[in-house]
Amino acid sequence: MTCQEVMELMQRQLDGDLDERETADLTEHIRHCPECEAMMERLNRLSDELENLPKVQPRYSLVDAILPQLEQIDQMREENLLLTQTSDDLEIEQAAALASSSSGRSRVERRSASWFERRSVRWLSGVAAAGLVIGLFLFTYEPQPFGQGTQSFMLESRSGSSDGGAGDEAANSSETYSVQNQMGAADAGAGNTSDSMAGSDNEPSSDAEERSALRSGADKNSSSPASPGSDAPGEDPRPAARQDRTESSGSAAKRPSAAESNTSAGNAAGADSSGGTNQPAAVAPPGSSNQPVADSSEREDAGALNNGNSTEANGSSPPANKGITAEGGTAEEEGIYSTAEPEDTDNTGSYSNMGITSEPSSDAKLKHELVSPNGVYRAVVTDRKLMVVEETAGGTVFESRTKNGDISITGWTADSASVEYEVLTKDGTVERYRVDINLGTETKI
Amino acid sequence: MEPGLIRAAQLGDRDALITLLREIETHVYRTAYYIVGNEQDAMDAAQEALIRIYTKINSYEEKALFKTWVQRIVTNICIDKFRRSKPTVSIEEHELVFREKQDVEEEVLSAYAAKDVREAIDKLPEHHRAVVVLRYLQDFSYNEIADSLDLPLNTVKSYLFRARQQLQGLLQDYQKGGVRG
Repeated sequence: MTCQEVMELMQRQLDGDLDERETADLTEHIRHCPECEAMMERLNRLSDELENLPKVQPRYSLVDAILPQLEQIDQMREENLLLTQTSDDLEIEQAAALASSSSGRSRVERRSASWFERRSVRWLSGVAAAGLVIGLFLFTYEPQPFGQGTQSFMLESRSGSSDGGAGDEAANSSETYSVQNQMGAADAGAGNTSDSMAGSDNEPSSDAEERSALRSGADKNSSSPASPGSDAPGEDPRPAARQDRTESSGSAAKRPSAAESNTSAGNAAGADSSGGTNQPAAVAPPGSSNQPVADSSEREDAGALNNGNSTEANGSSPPANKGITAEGGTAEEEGIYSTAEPEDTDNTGSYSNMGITSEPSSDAKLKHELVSPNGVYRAVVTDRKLMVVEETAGGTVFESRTKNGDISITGWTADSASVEYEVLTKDGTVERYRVDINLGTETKI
Repeated sequence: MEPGLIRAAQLGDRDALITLLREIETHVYRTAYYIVGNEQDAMDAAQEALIRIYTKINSYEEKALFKTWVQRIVTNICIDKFRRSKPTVSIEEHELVFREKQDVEEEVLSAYAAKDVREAIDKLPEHHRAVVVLRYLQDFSYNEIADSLDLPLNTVKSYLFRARQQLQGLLQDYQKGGVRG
């Protein structure tokens, strides 16, 4: 018997997989082969170590942490039941279904303008709404540690699921532009989200489709005139430059009759990007916002397109983010998102908070309260002191001395072991401190 | 796992389903922790797995063991979504290297430090790591691992054997390098 054959016996022996005969063979070989004996000893030791690895436990109940999300899922399911009884949803459902297969579709060039005019409006709203809802799912499905911010979240939701790559590819390929030309931003967003969703989980995806019916209905009715895109081209100099190429684009953009339903489609798209994933923003390379505009100017159907596109421009340029969020607020029914508000998600890190509202204010506002990524602690500023309290028990973990100025909490470290804050003193200097939670001390940094 | 509970959950008893989730959450977390290698991602992955179990409980069929079905879900999430860019050691690197008799020093070090073991596990390729985790943290048999990871039985064995061989090689390197005292 060779040493290599013995190796397999040794391995199987560790798993209790040897019969008597094989055990005898192994013992016999080892007695005469010091190398194998040493190997056997190391493997045995390793196996012991592996068996004795710490039986780690989650530090808080995961089920408790996800209960709100589970309720949300139930709620959506119930609404789906209601929806199946309404009349007009079938077509919208089909639109949503189409949206979910859009990565395949994006390879097909469609040039029929009349087809577009007939279908696109309804489609847009349905598709955008699908993206919105699926986006909501994605964000509930893909928790992110606090501190990575919205951007990394967006990346994650794109690349996270196995199908994400395909959507990605589609978005980057030039073919996608043709789709965007026809569908506007909403399609790129919705297509991508639903795509990755389909790969990871069918059920919620179908949930989302049905849900979209309700959504788009609501959007149509609301048709708020606040057009999210009207200022967007101005924010991105490139589309404006492109518009010079023809006169139709410019005029189309100003044409007041972006039609009610178009506006609502635009809104829906805006809402989509705020709906937790900012998918269109993630998907659309900066250049893509001008591309559709340019193309659309070569056609006649620029009205609807501009609306959609400008929404996208809005989504893809970072400063516009806040605008979108605000938009989302108007276009949305509050119910859905409010259930996902921080209270529950704090446990897993405040990521979802970011998905919903914009990133915690990067502007000069002072931050006076911040829950740790693991949800265990809350840092609070009171009377020029920084205190850290236990989120549930309420006990004080740390209390700083009274500082000579306004305190703003900078943030928690990802492991929730320390929190940093700044003191803006009266003479205009900034002092920074780091509080070590475990030691209950702070150090100036 | 109590079959009655699972059946009740599948019939739409929400409380049963929640109870079921509570019973498995530690197992789910433990697998996630050792596959993704850090607490925060493990929390995220485990929660996602639990949500998926919640939404897809009806797709579980009794021909499979519930625990392998659960582990399949959590390992898939860990491997698909929490794939790290961090390089793993090629599994061939330590293959079938028979070391010469070790120096006396090794005798002194009676056991590998658990931390070293964890670090070494972290360096395994994902599927090898998953096999090791299911074998040692979930106490699964070859067959149960095969069911969970949807791998042929022989592949499971080959992954497990190679993984252990690589682990002992890595740990030996740690010791030689004087990483631990």
